[in-house]
Amino acid sequence: MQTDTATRATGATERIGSKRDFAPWADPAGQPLVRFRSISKRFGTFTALDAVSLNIYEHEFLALLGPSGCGKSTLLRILAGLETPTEGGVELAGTDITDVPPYRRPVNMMFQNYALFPHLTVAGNIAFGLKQDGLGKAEIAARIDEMLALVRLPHHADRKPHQLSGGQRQRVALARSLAKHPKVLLLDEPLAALDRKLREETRFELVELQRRIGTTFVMVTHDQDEAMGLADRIAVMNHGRLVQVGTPAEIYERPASRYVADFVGDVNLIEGTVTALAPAAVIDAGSVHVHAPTITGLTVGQNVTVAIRPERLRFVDGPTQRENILAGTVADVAYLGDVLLYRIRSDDGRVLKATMPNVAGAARTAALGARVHVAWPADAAIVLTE
Amino acid sequence: MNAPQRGLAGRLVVVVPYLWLAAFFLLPFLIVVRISLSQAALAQPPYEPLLDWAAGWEGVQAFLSALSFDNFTALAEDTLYLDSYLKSLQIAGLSTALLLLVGYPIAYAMARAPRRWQPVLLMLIILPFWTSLLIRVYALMNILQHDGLLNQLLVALGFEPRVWLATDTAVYLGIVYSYLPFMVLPLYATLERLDQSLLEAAADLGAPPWNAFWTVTLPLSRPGIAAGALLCFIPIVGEFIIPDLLGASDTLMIGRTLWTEFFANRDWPLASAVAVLLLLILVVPIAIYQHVQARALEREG
Repeated sequence: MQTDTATRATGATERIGSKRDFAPWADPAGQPLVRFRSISKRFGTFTALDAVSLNIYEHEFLALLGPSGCGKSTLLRILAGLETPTEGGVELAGTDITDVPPYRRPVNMMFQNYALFPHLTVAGNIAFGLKQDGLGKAEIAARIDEMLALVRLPHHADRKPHQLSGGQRQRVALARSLAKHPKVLLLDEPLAALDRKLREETRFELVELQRRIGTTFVMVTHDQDEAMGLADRIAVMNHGRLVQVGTPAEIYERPASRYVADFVGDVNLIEGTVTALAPAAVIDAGSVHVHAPTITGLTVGQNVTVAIRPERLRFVDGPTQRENILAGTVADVAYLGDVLLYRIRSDDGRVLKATMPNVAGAARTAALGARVHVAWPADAAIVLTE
Repeated sequence: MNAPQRGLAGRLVVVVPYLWLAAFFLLPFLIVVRISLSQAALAQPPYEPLLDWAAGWEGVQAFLSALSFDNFTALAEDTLYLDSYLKSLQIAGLSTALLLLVGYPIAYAMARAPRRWQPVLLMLIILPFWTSLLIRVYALMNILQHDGLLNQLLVALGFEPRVWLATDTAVYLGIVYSYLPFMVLPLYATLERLDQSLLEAAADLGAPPWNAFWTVTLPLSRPGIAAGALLCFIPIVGEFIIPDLLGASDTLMIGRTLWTEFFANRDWPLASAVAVLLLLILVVPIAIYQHVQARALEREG
């Protein structure tokens, strides 16, 4: 599974949906800025990380995504030097830093609760790290101004943290962690403490800031929207292991496992047996035969899961085709504003989720209890063997 | 900050502590002030003037005109009292500094100990309170006397025995020993609440552990230091038992002077004046403490 993940991460020949023309991980000769070498971390009998290997490249924005307790924060803290791995090592720009204490690493972290020093002013907080480096007064003052301008808080230098709003505190924490011009900026759930509206604004600002200053960002989050919206690549984790590493589009459109498909976005999962491989894979799932793009390593008779995203389903008039279609009744309709979310109970007892854009005339709508046929194109079905 | 609207019951709850303070602190204090303005007399009670209610308004006038500040002038004129005050402040100041030096590492170690050990350690700090202070001071006398445990140990180790009892050293030892829990507990309470992520942030920003202690832990434990220092300093200034039992006869702390005036000389008015002045001296550190507390509260929002 580990090698499989590595191939997906670095060896993907055709990339899909990259946000910018930036894919150092696809270059076989490229040197990573950070290299996790088979990191394991155990707390007593609990295994927080299990042989995690991951490369992070310069200027990259990488998100570690997973549910709480999956080990993503531990991995981040190992990079910061706040935890030491039980096995394995960390390299930064080609140097092994596994045993380097946190205060000698050119890496800074923005803490989840910001961890601003309550007894120091905003300027004092930003200056803290610079003073440790023994910078001169004038230089420190200049850097404080530079950082406050960067996070757009120019007139707050003399405030204490308790006099700031949540959003302002987040900016000060960001300014403080960037003040030393770290090689890598670590962000532990950077937006979790903000309310929804502010979170969206800040998300945009964070991407824009990262593109501008070019610093490598590594972020921990449990929120898939946050990861999708911010990161160049997402590393999905579960139970201390890396499950898949890829661009947001790769993760969403070509999930490597049921777990990833289910964790990132909504999905319909249909289980069945492979009956044919070419030209398309055919999966016999009882009342429905699913045709899907074939994948390497698939054999006839294998039990697999097919994943179909709810937005790829559509209503059709009657049984127009023999495959990729299910008949059922509308069990629930939720009006979400931008989309309508349907739950359709098929005649063989499955419950499928389907989302339809809420635009006049764009899609057929159906009322609660109505008989419907839902179909999907063959390329919407993803065959998952794990 | 606006005071929230309160009902009658709510207002009553606020009034109760004030009533308590008025009945058991303000009233007795006013009586002491009144005695301090009187003159000693061989009578029952041993001071005059007494208010003669039967004489009516003239009685009150006679009473008021007989009050004087003579006792306070006497305190200023005799250097014995000034020396006692200074000695008390000196012993209290030095003891508080020693208590801080001894108590801070203890509190710090307790706060950093594994969670499951902390209640046990807390228990051990409070444990001496289970024995009366008097008994513990007597035990110290036993240890410090010429053929006591301390000198036996010194002799066994090949040192000369020394005089311990009836010295200032013994007083400091007794005070530091007795007051240690009062220093450790508030310090522990502050250090235990200290957000560990702040120390991680300090380390992350390049501060080695020692620097992080000076720049983060120590400034943030200031409220605990202030609370512990005042909790020790104030009662030590008026301490009587420890200097009386462990100190030399010329260790004139103000508590002892007061005791002598009151019980040996039966000069209640002068003793009251000593007490009133002592209270005025102590109001200053209390006011400082309140100021620090208010600042800390303000900082926490």
